[in-house]
Amino acid sequence: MAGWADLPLDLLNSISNRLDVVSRLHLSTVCTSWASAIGCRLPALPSFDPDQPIPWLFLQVEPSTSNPNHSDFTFYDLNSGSSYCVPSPIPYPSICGARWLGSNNGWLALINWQHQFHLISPLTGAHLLLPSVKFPDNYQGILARYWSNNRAEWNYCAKVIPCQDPDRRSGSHSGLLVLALFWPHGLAVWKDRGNKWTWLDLETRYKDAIVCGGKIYAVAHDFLHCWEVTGSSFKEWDIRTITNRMLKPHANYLVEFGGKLLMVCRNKEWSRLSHRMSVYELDLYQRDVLWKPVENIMDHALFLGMGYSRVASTFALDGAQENCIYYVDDDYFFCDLSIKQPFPDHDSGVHNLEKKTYERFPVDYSPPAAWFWPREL
Amino acid sequence: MARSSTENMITLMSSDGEEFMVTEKVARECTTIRNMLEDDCVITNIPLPNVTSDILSMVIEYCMEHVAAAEKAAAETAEKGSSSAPAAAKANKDLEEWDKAFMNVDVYTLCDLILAANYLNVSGLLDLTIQTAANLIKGKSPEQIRKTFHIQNDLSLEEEEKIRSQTPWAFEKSE
Repeated sequence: MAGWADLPLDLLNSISNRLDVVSRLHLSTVCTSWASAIGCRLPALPSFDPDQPIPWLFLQVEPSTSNPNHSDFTFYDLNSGSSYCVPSPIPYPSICGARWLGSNNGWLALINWQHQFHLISPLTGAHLLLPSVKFPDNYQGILARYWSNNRAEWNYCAKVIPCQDPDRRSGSHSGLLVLALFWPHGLAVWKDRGNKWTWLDLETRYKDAIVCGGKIYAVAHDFLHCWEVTGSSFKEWDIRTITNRMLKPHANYLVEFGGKLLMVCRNKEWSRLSHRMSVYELDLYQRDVLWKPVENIMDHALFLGMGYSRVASTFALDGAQENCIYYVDDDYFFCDLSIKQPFPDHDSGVHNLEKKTYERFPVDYSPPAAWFWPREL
Repeated sequence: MARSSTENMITLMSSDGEEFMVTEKVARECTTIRNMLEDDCVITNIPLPNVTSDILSMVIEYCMEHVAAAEKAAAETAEKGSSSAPAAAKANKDLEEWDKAFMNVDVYTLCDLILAANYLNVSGLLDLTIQTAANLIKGKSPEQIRKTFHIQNDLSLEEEEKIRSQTPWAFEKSE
């Protein structure tokens, strides 16, 4: 009777080659013989301290050098200033030529050329195929004039925001709630295990959406819309007009900050390399001005980009600069990873709110990039 | 399936001395044996000192099933001129189902099958067993992997901590 601990090296390696990165790391701590066999063949991964607030930047994906059906993901670690190539069993053909639409935690959201929505987790190898986005039955509204085939094709989706489901009672496995913003307008929501998307709005163009305090908030040009989430039903709860005129023309991001809702305005109008960013806090008790300016986020950093924008604490930690906004390219028209040349004018960097400085990340890549958190926060 | 009387029979002998008579076609599924036959075409008795009788009988069962499936597909193609796609797809699915049922074994047997498939060089069986082992590992914590495969943890606490500390994020959910 043979023992697993004595399995010849090449056979153990064949097994580990079919595993995701996390399972491979688990294999390497099983026993001394496996540790020595697997340990030396693990990809050089950046160490990610649980308290370290800076996520990696996801830059690109290529067919794996060891198996063309697998994928190699390239991440950039701002802390160490180096790139890492992480092999993953995610099938490359299903994500080849995809448009990246968002990220949160270890998830990346994309739509591929077959117009399929996917959520992938490069490190764990998890892969969810989401239902396709279709109009409600008998829908005759304005969106039908824009969309051919009555469904969301790859160029009609502007942003996908994976969030934590505020109502976990529904028995959802991963607790995922995914919000999707469409072109030229529309907002839909999908909950894990659900067999279809639910339309929250078919007639409005939204700039961002988020789950905060058990509700879904979405910001449009001149109003903020809010829905309550109960199980798999979504009830309209509030609509507030945005009267602050100076907020309107910019790219807007919604961020949850200690239970409060923040909006960050990013001015991209004049040049891709000049910015003006400002932070506002939602103040539902103000009659005229819905958003009040925030001058200082103190020992926190904001991360803006495709998908879910978030806050991390920089308290007593090295690495992240406090009172800063970290931002990456997320322009709709640049969301094509098939452009392989490094794009010299990428629009990603860090903005210091106090010093009013903008500093570009010292890395060349072809936009867009997405924040990637190797661990769940 | 009826076999022509002219088909060569080969005797395979397991490490514990049991003899297995198989057709040459089935024996040739093992690349190691195929190479022996090609080097010396009159050989009819092959000792396999690395494979026990229970494992050898399973390897033979696997090879027979796959040879029979390939013969059936070839016969259908010859009969109709070309094999119909739905029929071929169904046959493939049936074989996959058979493989799946065949892999319903304990981890000790699985380990022996991996070693035998590797030694006899049966690429289909090696692929199947390796994938089965990978599926057993996926999503498990180090402790669950040890339990599944009955492996003693001989790493010292310090050694284990050192490995974990390199990528702490990978071990957060596995406690």
